[in-house]
Amino acid sequence: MKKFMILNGYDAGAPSSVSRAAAFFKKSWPEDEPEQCLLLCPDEDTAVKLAGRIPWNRITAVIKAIYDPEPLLALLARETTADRLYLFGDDPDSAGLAARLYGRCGGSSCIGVCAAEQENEQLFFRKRVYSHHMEARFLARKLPCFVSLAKGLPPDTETGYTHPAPNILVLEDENAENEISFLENSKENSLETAKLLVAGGNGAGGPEGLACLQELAACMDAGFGVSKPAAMGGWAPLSSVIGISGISAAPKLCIAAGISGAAAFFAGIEKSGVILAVNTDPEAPIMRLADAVVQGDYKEILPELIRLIRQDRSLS
Amino acid sequence: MEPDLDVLPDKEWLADERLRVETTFLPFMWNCFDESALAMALHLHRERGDISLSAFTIAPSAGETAMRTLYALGFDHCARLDSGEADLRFAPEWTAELICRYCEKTGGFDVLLLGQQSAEGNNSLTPALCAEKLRVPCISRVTELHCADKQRLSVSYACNQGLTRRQMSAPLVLSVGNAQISCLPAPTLKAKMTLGKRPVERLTYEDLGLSETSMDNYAGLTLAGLEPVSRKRAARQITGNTPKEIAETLYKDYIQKALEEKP
Repeated sequence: MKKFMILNGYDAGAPSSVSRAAAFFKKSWPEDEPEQCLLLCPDEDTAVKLAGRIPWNRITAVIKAIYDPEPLLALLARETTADRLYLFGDDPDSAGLAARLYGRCGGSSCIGVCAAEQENEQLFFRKRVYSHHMEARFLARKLPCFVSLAKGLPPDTETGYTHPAPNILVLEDENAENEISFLENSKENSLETAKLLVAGGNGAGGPEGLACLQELAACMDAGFGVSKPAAMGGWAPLSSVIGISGISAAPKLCIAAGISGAAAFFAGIEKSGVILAVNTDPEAPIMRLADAVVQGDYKEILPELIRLIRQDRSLS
Repeated sequence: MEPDLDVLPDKEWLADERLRVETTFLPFMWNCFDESALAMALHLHRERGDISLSAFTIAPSAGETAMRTLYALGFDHCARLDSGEADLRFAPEWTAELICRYCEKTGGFDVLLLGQQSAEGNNSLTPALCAEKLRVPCISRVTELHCADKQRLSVSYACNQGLTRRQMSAPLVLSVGNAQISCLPAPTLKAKMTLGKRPVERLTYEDLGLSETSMDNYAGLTLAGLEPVSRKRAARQITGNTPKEIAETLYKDYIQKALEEKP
């Protein structure tokens, strides 16, 4: 079965995303390589930089200044053939492309795949379901198959691959960009790469309750994120949401305070090296899911912790 | 609508011989993305009073109470298709077909708002499949929706290039993600007693020109296994007589080392 990779270069986090997709392919099909890697990029410079994260030579860059899925879908649909696996990256726009292409071309699709297995000519995929409480194994019944990767998979340990210059295909920007305005440009979300993370949730009771956690994050040089309910309440920006619908972080240390540890949130911190939880409710799920837990009010404990950190840092 | 999975105890996360998890006894609630989509529709209705709102759910009878609440909040028409014994967890193709058939039956739409994914299936496919079946543009990860002018909508959404706003004409399929407006308001008692008493239209597969037996023909994947994910950690209890003592233990045993290792 031939495989085709389609990777999105519009995200500020694209280099990491491309590296994770390459690692996934190498792990799943160590003896194989994609028939073609398609890089969707805003410009040629980006394409050349991202190509250095791809271990294989057959790379084509599709250049379009402003991301618009419609012309990209039209192009991809024209190129789709019935006997292939189309593998997309782990960013949400790639998942959207995979889903739309499936709707347009038929076959099968699995979004958010964490592992692939090929047994003879049969393709199986693993992914998290039931709010990440369960892992499902699916058989792809038909080809073409459009798959996007789960967030938070391990990156390729090798980088700096050298290649001939990728083939370039330029798509003209049409009318769409006249209607599009960017309210906030993408920047690589520091939570995804943070080595230390402080997270707060509904238990904070409001934005003022999060202040103490933000202060702790600042004095540790840590990332600061929240659960979805806290962001929905307007206590923190949507870009700081951790969990299934937000960021998947993998810090060495995560401090979760005032967070119940609902599965939708925990999915975003489960790859942490060490998790410390502070919660008043001993029955909260986080009290079973963390490495160390404190049953108590974080508003009493964290100020002491901040004082200790500052004291130690002023001595060093 | 979906079961509240967060209240299911750890030991109950087991699949039976049909690869199902027993969730029928759990409280039934709005999917968080569906709730955002409904709240967004109501907000649009408040901006422009001449918009007619319809809600469609595929749910058991327990979903009907919530649909009546939608009447009380200002929806004009609510319909429920009884899913019966059908396993819709991993059937986004079938779900999309039902939604599209409902849209056709009711004479079309200007904007079709859907939540981006369910908690159980986590398929993330239904909105895209609806858009492709209906051959209309689709915007994913919608965060805000407003009337731009008489003809166009202003749609804010997250994409890889950042938070983006685009003015678009109907028809449109919008897949709602982490939205600013995320909760349905509570209806007034008066609205509950009057509007909330209206009957929810009950539909069958046959009403949409389909039969449950054809469901399998739509599937792209077959569920071959379902296993619980083990996420438990040591959960060491840190105690002390004062907050200061607790903080000292946390610092000494975990945080100091992490700070030293951080580049």
